Amino acid sequence: MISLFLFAAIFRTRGVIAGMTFSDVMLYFLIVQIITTFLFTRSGFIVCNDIKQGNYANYLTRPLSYIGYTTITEICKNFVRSWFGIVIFGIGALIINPQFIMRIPLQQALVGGVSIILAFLILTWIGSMIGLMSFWIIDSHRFVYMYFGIMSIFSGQLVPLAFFPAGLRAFVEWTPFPYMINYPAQLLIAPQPVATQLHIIGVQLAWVIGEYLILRLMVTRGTKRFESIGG
Amino acid sequence: MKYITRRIKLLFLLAALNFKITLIYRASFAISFLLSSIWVLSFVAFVEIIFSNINMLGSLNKGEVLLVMAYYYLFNNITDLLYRDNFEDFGVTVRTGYLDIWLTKPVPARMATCFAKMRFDYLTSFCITGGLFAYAFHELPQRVNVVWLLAGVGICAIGIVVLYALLSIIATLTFWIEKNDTINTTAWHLTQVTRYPREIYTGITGIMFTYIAPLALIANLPAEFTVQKGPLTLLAIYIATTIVLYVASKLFWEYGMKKYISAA
Repeated sequence: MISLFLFAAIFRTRGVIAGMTFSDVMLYFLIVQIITTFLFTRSGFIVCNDIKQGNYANYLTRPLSYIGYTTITEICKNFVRSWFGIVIFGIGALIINPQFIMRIPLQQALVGGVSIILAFLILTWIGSMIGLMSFWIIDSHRFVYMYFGIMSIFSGQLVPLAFFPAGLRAFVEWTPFPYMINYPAQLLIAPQPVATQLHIIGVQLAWVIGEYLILRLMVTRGTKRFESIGG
Repeated sequence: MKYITRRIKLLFLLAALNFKITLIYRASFAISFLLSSIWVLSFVAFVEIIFSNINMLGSLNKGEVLLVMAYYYLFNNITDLLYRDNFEDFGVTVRTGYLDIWLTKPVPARMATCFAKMRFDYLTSFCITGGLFAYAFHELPQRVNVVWLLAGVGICAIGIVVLYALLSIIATLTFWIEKNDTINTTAWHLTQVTRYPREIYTGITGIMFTYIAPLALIANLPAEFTVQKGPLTLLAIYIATTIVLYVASKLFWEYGMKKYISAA
């Protein structure tokens, strides 16, 4: 929310920056707040702790996928939590721009919902991958913090991607970060052409599939190395 | 005099102990540098992105905004090193009865608890903060005078006392509210206020963060004095507010101690 104070100060000098007005930016950040109440998980820390403390052994004796189990658990927790974000920040968004809901076609809103779920998987599974590094290194907590540091700027959480210089934006487009927050938010703020919607979903799906394959490889290789001592 | 020497002695003892513990895990020591670098570089990138669209943020140019950020990180590094973890774990310390260990020793209990664990692995963060200062000086249109820079660093030290007092007041609430973890986390999020130029806080928030809980001054005032734009009146108010906050936190702690019942 401090970002709103910052951008209010930025827009005192100019009415439009990077094609956005101050109310556009406020709406963007409120939608981002709603999305992040669903998106953010502690999967990296959970996986790291399970491996470090030996709890991972419990999951080896059960007929379920460890990553699947942690992912579903986090989705359920975040689903409940996100309703608080929807109510609190949704009211704020409606105050700023009461018409923004009406101008989003229902089809695009549904695509936006799918996009948020895919964004959750992208974000969570990268965290899980870093947590799984605990099979090979003593403690991967620090790397999760590093990941959050990089993600906070490149995902559009701190500043919309529209503000990025062209060169940096072109580079960031090749990473999964804009597809975590910026693009799902854009789907819920303004009408987008169908081709754009399909592009966003397509890229997110590609990242999800790629991450799933890497996760399976890491779990298979890491489990062979795993040792748990004690009862 | 004895009051001060006892505390200084305790501080050095705790520092020596924690430094030895830190060096047991040298790889962790090295990784801390990488970690702090990423976060600092992310926020420098944030400033660069903002200033690729504008020339001035209020009355501040890019160099001055970077200087505010540099002082924020200096303040953050020192508080992380000295007492951050202790305040975050204070609720656990009280609930598990570990506080009793300090209460039974002939040392100032509040200070011992709040400085028990010092994170010398954050020492490496000072390197990247030094780099940020160098970059800020490079972006400033004027040269920085060493005397004014030292004045800025001295004023930054006042902020350490401000945050210590505020966190101490919040931590003392643990004696009444058993599970205080969310409040502690929220308090740390409030320190994000110090990162940005104080000009962005207007109206009631400006008054609150400048005069009541002077979080907005912690990094801003040192930066303003470094570029010789600092208002002396505001500095005097800042020092007075710090003293009031520290005394209030001490009195509140002593009142809380009377209400404290051991968990053991």
